[in-house]
Amino acid sequence: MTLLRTLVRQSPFHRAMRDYPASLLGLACLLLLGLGSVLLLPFIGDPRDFIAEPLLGPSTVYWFGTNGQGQDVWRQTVAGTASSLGLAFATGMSMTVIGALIGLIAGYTGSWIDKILSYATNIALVIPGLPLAIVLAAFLPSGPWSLYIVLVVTGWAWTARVFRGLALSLRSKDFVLAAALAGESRLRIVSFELLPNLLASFASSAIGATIYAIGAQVGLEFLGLGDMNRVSWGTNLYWASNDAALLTGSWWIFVPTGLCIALACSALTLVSYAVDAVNNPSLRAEQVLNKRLRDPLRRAIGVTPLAKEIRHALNA
Amino acid sequence: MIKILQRLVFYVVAIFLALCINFLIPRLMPGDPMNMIFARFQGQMSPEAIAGLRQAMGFTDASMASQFLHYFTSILQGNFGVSTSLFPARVGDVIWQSLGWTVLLAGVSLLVSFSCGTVLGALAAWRRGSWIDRVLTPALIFIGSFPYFWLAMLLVYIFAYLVEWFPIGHAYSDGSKPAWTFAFFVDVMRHLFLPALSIVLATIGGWILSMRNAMVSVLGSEFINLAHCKGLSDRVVLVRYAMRNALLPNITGLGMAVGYVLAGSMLTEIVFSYPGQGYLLVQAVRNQDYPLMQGLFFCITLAVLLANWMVDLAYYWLDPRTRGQNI
Amino acid sequence: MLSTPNLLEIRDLSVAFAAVEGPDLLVLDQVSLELKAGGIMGLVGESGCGKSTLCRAILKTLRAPAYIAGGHVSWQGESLLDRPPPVLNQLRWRDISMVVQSALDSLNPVVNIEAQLLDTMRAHGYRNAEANRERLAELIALVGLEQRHLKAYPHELSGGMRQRVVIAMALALNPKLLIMDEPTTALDVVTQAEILGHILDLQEKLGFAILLVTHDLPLALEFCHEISVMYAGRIVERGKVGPLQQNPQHPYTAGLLHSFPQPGSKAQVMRGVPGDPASFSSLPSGCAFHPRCTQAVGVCPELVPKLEQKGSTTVACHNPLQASRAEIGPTSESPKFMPNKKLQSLSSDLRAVQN
Repeated sequence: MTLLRTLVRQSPFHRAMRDYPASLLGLACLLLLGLGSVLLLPFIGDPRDFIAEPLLGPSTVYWFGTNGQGQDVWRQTVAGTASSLGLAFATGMSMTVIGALIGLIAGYTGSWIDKILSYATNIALVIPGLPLAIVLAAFLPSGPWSLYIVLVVTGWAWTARVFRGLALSLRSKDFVLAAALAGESRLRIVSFELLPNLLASFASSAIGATIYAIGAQVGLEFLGLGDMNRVSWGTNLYWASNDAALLTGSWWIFVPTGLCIALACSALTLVSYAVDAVNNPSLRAEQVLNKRLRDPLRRAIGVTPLAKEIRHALNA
Repeated sequence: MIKILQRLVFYVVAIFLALCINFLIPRLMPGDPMNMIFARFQGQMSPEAIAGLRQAMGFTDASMASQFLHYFTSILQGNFGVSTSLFPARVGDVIWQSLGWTVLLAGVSLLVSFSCGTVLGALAAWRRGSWIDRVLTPALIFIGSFPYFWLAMLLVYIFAYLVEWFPIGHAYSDGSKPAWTFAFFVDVMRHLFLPALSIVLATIGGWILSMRNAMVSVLGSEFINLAHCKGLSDRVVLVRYAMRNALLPNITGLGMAVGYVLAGSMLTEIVFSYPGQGYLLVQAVRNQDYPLMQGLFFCITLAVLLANWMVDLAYYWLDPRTRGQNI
Repeated sequence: MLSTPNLLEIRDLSVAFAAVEGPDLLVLDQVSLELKAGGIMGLVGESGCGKSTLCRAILKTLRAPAYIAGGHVSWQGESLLDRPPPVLNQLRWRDISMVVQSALDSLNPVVNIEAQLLDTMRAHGYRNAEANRERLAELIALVGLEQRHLKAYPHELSGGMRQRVVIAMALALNPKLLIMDEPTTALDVVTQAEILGHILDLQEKLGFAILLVTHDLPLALEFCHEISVMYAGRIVERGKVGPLQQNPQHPYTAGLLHSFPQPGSKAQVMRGVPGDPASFSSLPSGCAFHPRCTQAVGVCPELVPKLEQKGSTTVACHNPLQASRAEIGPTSESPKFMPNKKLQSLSSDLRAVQN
């Protein structure tokens, strides 16, 4: 437990979050969408109920109006958010864990294991994901698990590549060698020397994987290839398209879902700024100085500023 | 040189693997694909026709190995079988017709998105704190968070339905015949604009961000500092020293982006009923037209691998370190 | 007696790093330095004491989060720090140029050598292609490279060749001051001697001033006319090579002098300087050296000593050595250093042995 506490308090994530208030905003949005939708679920009723006439616009009674089948769009949006975010996080995490394991094994062991694994990774990267997903989804029986399987199978390769590179660079880093020479146990080496680096990369990859999962999941469902019994972002849009929402001018059917998707993906991207900055110190150094400049736009590139150009300068 | 050949071998292996996937999937899935086709035609095919189709698609009683050999040789001959939904059109012919439109849409969108995104990204990194960095970049990233097809739907709603500046769908006006005339060219451009715009909007944010990050990383290098010491102008440092180096990791990204853009353009084609490979693939899936589906998957994969290979070549040309000779 | 005007004059220059939380970190504290035309000044100190920071501060090319917190730098009598960027750009390289430690990192990896030599010439107004070509040939010959190396890329050349390229680049516009920041640390000893010998020859021929930054004190004593010793962002002693070597007044200088074994002298116990170098985030109060100093007295932790002329050198110390003549180490014979010419012939002897 103390290990965890120390890691968090000393962690560069703490600092990074403070430097990037936008990331905190992103985190807040994510929590709002995720927890909000889950907490609201028991209170909104069944989104599949046919409650009123189809294609009613937004009103005080039905906040988001009704869709082409007479269902409540507000209920569908909330339920869809909970369902899609849940699946996205689950698949994103799975992709990252699997990819990280494969990448770490490949990078750390080297020799022929590495050769095979990285060749496989490269091929998985280069074969286009969505067409493969479409073909797989078309052949797999429709159901809740097929989408999960298809996404994980097509999405692990990127993380594997990242972690292989990480394992290679860490393997040769001097401090690992020094620690090993000094007789430190492997566990200590892993947890204190390698962990912070790995954690940041893991977080970054997990965020990227989740963004990919959202996009791919919505795309497949939009094509009618997901579990059509679920209420999710993708199925909402599928029905919107099927019911010719555009041609009837019923924008309220597809706009709320789209906004939720964009909000979730943007929030994830914002959070990743902070996480990336942990691994990239030069980004932070510039940030720190730029915040203190009196006139940031007039600053000449490649010229060190003088004290008078900076707020709260040390006058030495 | 050797590296280029090695990459070529890699791509050949990848294509082969794609072929294997194509071959194995229908045979590994539960159920007999022939039954599905039979069900689709609702018993309107004579037993001989069914047997003939089974032969043509290679679902014979022969061993897996000889089935594969048969499949492999027919592919090499360009025989992808016969489409079941567009019976009796040959898969190869159907694919060939739609190829051009997909290349046009995906190609134009990718080029515009990459070039504009790269330039804007470089500017955003150079002038951190400017409106490009603080306003435009986040705005485009937010816009890029919407699914491709959602943006397409929005654009159709606003520009084709509300204000009717652009057509709602298809590649050219219904009723006009394709011809190499200026009028037809303009017509095609009008139909291309919204789909291409939706893809560009969806992807440009990503390019801006990755170029910006690459630039920031490069701008922290020693040689940039020395370039400043040498008294070089901002423009020279930006273009010749920073951009030329930051471009390299982005070119690598370009190869992988081809796959993504093709995927996204498929979804866009649905919304616009644009007659490209993606539109066809989805129709094939909906109609359970397995031969067409497999043929399209193979073709799309081939296109992506080809594009990747061309990007690799471009990279070798741009980065002298890959040519590694020693004086 | 009419003294020649100073080429470069640094007065009380301070540089700080902007910090996220807490006070900004001061990395150069009121550093003062003077250099005359044609003079060779050495700047010596341990790694991280601020020597490189000083070099880049002169040209205002320090990277974020550094900023100049105070002081004056004047070049040929006029203030350098206040010049607007376009004027500064003209002055950079034409008047003051730099040779850095890592040549591979300092060269643009995707542009060939010729282009990198040419671009600074063109940036300073030398647009005539013919004249530039001649100048290139001159520079190449000057550093001992061949014409065919011009079309090469940095990664295709060996370390020694890259260093020569960087030197050729630095001399391209005939600067009046050449700053060398650990130029040969990454090279083997033989190449090091060769290159430095070369530079000395050029200096005699062309008459530019040199500011040599190094942690290698014997090298600096060999090479320079005058030496400044830095510790924790401050100059602690400054003086001509002879007096500094014979009668160092600052305990740190003396410690440094006794840290390097002398070739050709008897075996001796190495004393070095006890303790660890001070870190900028937790500088000792008063004189930064006092925790490691054998001469420390009561006032040392309280007051930062001022740099003043005392005896044969200028020193910042409350209790300089001349005053107490305290023991630093065994009184060994004064270290013998070989003059320049001897060093060069030594290096050619070594080469002959190698081949």
